[in-house]
Amino acid sequence: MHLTDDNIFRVTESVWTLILGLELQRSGPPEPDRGTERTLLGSVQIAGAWEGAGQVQCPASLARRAAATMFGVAPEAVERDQIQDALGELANMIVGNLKAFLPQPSRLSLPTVVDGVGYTVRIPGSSREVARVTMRSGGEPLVVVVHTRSTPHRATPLERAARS
Amino acid sequence: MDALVIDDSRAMRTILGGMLTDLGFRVVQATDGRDALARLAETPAARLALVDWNMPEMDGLAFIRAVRADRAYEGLKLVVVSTETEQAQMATALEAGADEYVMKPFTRAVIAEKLGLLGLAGPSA
Repeated sequence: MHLTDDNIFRVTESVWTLILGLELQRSGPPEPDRGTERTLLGSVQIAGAWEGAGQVQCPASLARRAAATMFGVAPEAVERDQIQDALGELANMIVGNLKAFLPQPSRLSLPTVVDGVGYTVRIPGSSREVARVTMRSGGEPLVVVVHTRSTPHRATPLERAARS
Repeated sequence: MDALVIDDSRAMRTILGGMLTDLGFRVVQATDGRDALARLAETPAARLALVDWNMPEMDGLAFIRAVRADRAYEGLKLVVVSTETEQAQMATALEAGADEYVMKPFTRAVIAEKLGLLGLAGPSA
């Protein structure tokens, strides 16, 4: 097994339909404009036989709809921390299932979420993008990006302690 | 019948808690393994715990080991609900004392089926 755009779409579609009951289609650009609109980005790192990270990014309006479904409330009733929590868990499920297509054994980090306008994201250690799949749900863009470390990551003492 | 839902994601606790409530369980939520041990001490009659793997403070595996080391909870059924899909990690969880393993994403039917296998089809079933 290896990671392909088709695998990324199938995994994301599975999470999107089973957990949210929302439809998802493959599409090309445009992607959400992080420079002008509020977007959320959920990121989960993978460490072990394969090292890198997976990111799930969408406009705040789509993240709000997803959170409303997960919390069982109307979209206008969802609070900001609920939206962030929901996107983090969706990223966790998507990246966790993508890990099955990568060399094992490896472990997932807890998800981190960025929420705002005009931000940049830096992954620890030098990294390069190996896959980017753009999809749409309800007419809004959803992007999954996978980065791999281009240089081996040296575990910090804290990471070594956590793995032992 | 009391059940614990242990997950650091509030959204996931809401989803799993809703499913168990629909099945007739009284649900107690915990945000990590350490919190769950405290909640369990307050809910000694709990028969079921759905346990995430990756959590801050105390992860699911450490929680399972702590519960299985305490004979007071020997009747508690432990179901891991996780995105960790490697066979070796599943085996580790089962060897530590987990009764079942569910991979995220899941359906309501999968959760109900696993509970049925454990003889916990739900108080309302």
